[in-house]
Formats: sequence, structure tokens, C-alpha cells
Amino acid sequence: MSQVLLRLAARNLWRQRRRTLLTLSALAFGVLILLVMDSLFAGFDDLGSRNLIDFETGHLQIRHQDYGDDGTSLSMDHAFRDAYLDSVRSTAGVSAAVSRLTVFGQLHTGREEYYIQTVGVDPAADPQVFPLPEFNAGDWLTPGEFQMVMGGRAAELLDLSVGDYATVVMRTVTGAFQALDFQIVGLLHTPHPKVNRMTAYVPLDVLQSGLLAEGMVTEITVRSDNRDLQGLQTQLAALAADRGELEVSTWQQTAAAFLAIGESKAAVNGIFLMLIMLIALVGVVNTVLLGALERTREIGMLKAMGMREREVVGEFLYESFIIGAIGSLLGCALAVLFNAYFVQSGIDFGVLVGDMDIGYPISGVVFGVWNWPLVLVVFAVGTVVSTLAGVLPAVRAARRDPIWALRQ
Amino acid sequence: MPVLELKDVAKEYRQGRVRVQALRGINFRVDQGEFLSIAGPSGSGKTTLLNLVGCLDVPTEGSIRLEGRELSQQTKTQLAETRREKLGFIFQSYNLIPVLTAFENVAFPLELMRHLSRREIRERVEQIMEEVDLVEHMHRRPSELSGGQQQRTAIARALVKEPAMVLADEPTANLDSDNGGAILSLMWQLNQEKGTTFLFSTHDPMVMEYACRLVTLRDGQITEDERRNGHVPGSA
Repeated sequence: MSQVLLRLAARNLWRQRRRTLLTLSALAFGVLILLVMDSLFAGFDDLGSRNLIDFETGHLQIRHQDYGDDGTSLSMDHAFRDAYLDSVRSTAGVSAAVSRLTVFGQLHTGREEYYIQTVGVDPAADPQVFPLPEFNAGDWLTPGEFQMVMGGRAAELLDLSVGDYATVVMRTVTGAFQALDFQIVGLLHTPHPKVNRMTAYVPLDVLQSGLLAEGMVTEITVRSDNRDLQGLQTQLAALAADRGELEVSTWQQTAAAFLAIGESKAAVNGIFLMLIMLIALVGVVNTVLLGALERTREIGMLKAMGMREREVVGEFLYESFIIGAIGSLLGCALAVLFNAYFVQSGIDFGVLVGDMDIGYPISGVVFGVWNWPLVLVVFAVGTVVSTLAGVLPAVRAARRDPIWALRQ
Repeated sequence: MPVLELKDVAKEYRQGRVRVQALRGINFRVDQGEFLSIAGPSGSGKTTLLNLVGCLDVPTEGSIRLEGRELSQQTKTQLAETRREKLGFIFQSYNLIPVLTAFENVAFPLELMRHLSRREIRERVEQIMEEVDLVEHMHRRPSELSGGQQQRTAIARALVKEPAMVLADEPTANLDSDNGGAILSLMWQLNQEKGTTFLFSTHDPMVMEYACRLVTLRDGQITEDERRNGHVPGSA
């Protein structure tokens, strides 16, 4: 019997193929958008997290507890004596560790002034924690030299190139202003817009000596292959216990604001899922209602021939099931095709927003991410909701009095 | 035992605040193999009577028995069951399922009955299609058939499950006289060969000529119940 009903349902849908196709397409489009959005959001998250770890935070950081509260200040109030680096490096689970001295200053080119984050780094050790990115031009720093490697976008804005000189005005550890001249030796191109736009790297020893801050740093950053970052965090906190104002943070804690944006993805997915359900509901209810209306006499005849009400309901539910299943399947198939491209080739986000700060630490190519469980969930939700959407109009149609229906 | 027996049947409708007495005091019985026509002018109660006998409606008063089983107290599901198992319907406007072929339309009541194998269904459908001379056209959709062919398909559909009785509501009303005559001849022939009981409503004098029994209704009451020698017009 179910075979007969299924055949009848399929042919009735085919009879109204334009309407069926429209409902199917709307559902498939909703599914496609949801899955592609999810993939790209996950890609944003992935790239953003990687950028944060590779260019800003490493996996763990030891810093003054108030560092970052006034992160744009020129002062070095939160610098501390670098007495822990060797112990940190020898801690189990630490792959590499480096000290950095980060200060903010005004960069002068003679023609322009530019607010820039100047990071003193150990040229030899730093790439072990922060992998060297692609260079637009030039090369990396040499210890002891007044050299600067800066973000390519900042250089472009200031019309600077390799070999040019730039003066950075900062405050020394005593609070006095100090101007240091650096020769630009390299221009970076990174997938992190903040580095491209407002970061300059100089040798740590030169910066410490220039700011009268010998042996002082603002952070010790750790790279770790250990998955248990909280465990390592506890171990490192014990090392700095004699300096109560220092704290150890995981990258997730440092990047809490960014991760909160990522978490809103779930809400966005929820909204899209609701949208799909709405499309399914409206589309299927409309299709089944119109089908029932057009086939009133046919329903009367079927009932006259002895078809039970639940069998009439079954026939309409098969119709809504077919629409839901094919629409969801089509949407999933299209999403898989699109996503295969996004996973393989990515989408150049830089073309869309350039180096604009949109709250995500990313620029350049974002790659899609496979989320097969979501594909299954969306297929199931699309199919089930569509089928259920047909229940009410189907029951209404099936309850019609056959005598009345036959007269139509 | 009669196939159908009606005792003191009455049917009353409400149209807004007005009560309409569609049938009253209907008493008659139909025996196996009868070819019975219910005649009467429009509004006389023919269709109401056919609806009651066809288990599409229940009487306000009285008793209707089909093969000895009382219908007036049956639930909606039981009535559907009775229609499925015991009755065949032929409608004025054929009412074939447009998305199914003639073959599938005829097979449909058998598939509803569930207890037949696919092979049995195919054999029975092929046989009845041969009897109504539609073998050549049986894989066409209704839209590809003429009115006469569609009504022959409807007759095959009504007969294929070998029902206790076939009910036909103005079966020739939508056909020209040639096709109408051919359909009646076919029904007559099937009645004679298979002994299937036919009960049809009409107000067409040509149709009445075929009937072995003519029950005439007027204002919801039987005014005449005439047994006669039904025949194919023009034959001896």
C-alpha cells in the first residue's frame, strides 16, 4: 500500500512540477547557505585562532596582571625583569619560549606620523615561537643593529620601503621621551591585519638599551605541543609565584573577545536553521494546501473507493517528505560541491574587506572547513520539518466529506 | 438473502435553519444480479439514496443492510472498509486518477484491498481490461483516452474487485448517445455474464430501457417500483 501511495505522491508532485521545483529550490537554497556559512565561519575561526597564536599570543603568555588594561599607553609601567625565561624553557611541555618588549610609539618618517606597536624581539629565538611570515621585501633582523621589520600595509601607507629610515618616539622606563632611528630591512605580509597595519619589529637588545630597560620585557611567550594548556599554565604560574603581579594566561584567555565572536557562530547557525525550517514550513504547507485544494474531487473519489483517512494523510505526507528529502539532499549536495571548492581554494577575504579591522584577526584567503555532522543534522531537520509541515493540511484534506468533495 | 435491503429509510438535511427531508419511508430490496435503475426528476432524492447505499452517508432513520450487514450504525472507518470490500463506484465524470495509467487506475482498488499479490492483481486487471476492450489503451493516462474509454476504465475499476454491488451515478450523462449506449451495453453484458448487481441513477429514458427493474422516486419517496424485461434497445 505504501508503495502505491508513494507512487501517487511522486506523480502528483511531478504533475505540479513548477510549484514543486520552487519549494524544493527554496529549501535547497536555505540548506546551501547554512552549510556554506558554517564552513566559512569555521574557516574564519580556524584562521583567526592560528593568526592569534602565530602573531600575537603564542599558546601561553606570562605578563603583568594589568598589562593590556591600558595597552595603548606609551608607558612601560608593566615591564618586568626577565628572570624566568630559562626556567620557562626548561619546563616540560614547553616547545619554545621567547621574551618580547612591546611598547607603543609615534613613528615619524619626516613627512608622516603613525601610531605603531613596536615589538622588541630576539631575532634568533623569536621565530621558534612566532613563525616568520612571508616577506614582501627584505629580510629579518640582526641582533644589536638599529633595524626594523614592519607590516607591509603600514609601510605602504607611509610610503616606506626597505632601506628607508624611520624614527620612533617612545617613553623610556623612567618616563622620558626617547626617539630611536631604525633602518627598515624587511616588509612583512601576514594574514593578520593588525601585524600588517600597525606592528614593527626591532631587535630586543637595541630596544631595551634605547629605553634604558636592560633585561626588561613585557611578556614571555610560550609555544607548546602540549594539549593540556591549563596544566602547563599552572606549572608556569608556580615559577612566577614570587612575583605576585605576574600572571600566566592561555591564548584562549588572552583572545577571549575574539573567541566570543566565534561562539556567536552557533547563534547564527541557529537563526539559519530556523530560517530553513520556516522555508520548509511555508513552502510545504503551501504546496500541500494547494495540492489538496486542486484535488478535492480526487480525494472524494479516493475516499469513496474506500481509502481510509490515514491513507489520504499518508499520501500527502509522502509528498511533503519527498519535497523535504530532495530539497535537503539537493541543498546538501550543492553545499558539498561549493565547500569542496572553499576547502581546496578558499575565498580571498582580503579582496572583500582589504585590511579593514572587522573584529576578526584575519585577512587574505579563508578556507572552508568540513562539518559532516552538521550536513547530516541539516538534512534530517529539513526532511523531518518538511514532512511534519504537511501534517495539518493533509489531515484537513483527508477529513473532507467525500460527498461534498465529489460535488466540487 | 438479498444483496441490499432498505427499511423505512429517511434522510434529513439541514440547510442553514431549514430542514430538508431528502428521503422518507424508503423500503426496497435488491437481489443478486439485478440491473436496477433509480429514476426521477432532479431533486427527487436519487443521489441521496445512492450516497446512503454507497456508504458515503448514513440515514437519519431506518435500516440499510448490505449482504446482511447493517450499515446505518457503522463508524466512518467501517463504512470505508465496506466501500473498499463490497462496492464499486462509477461516477458521472469518470473520476479517474489523472496521474495513473488506465491499468494503474483499475489496479488501484485491488491495491487498496491489500490481500492480493502483484501477479494476481496484474492478471485480474488484464482480464477485466480485455472484457471492457481496453487492452490496447491500458497504458495510457486518462487525458489520452476518449470520454467513452475513460468511462469503460471506470467500469473496469468498479468491477475488478468483484464487488457485491456496483453503484453508478448517471453513468452516461457526460457521453454522447453512441458512447452512452455502448457503455450501457457493456454494463448490461457484464451484468448478464458475471451476475454483478448494478444499481444506477438516471433520468435518461434510453438508460431506463436497459433496466430490469425501475424504481422511481419523487419528492424523496418511491412512487413506482416496476419489474420489467430489461434489454439492449433495438435487440429482440
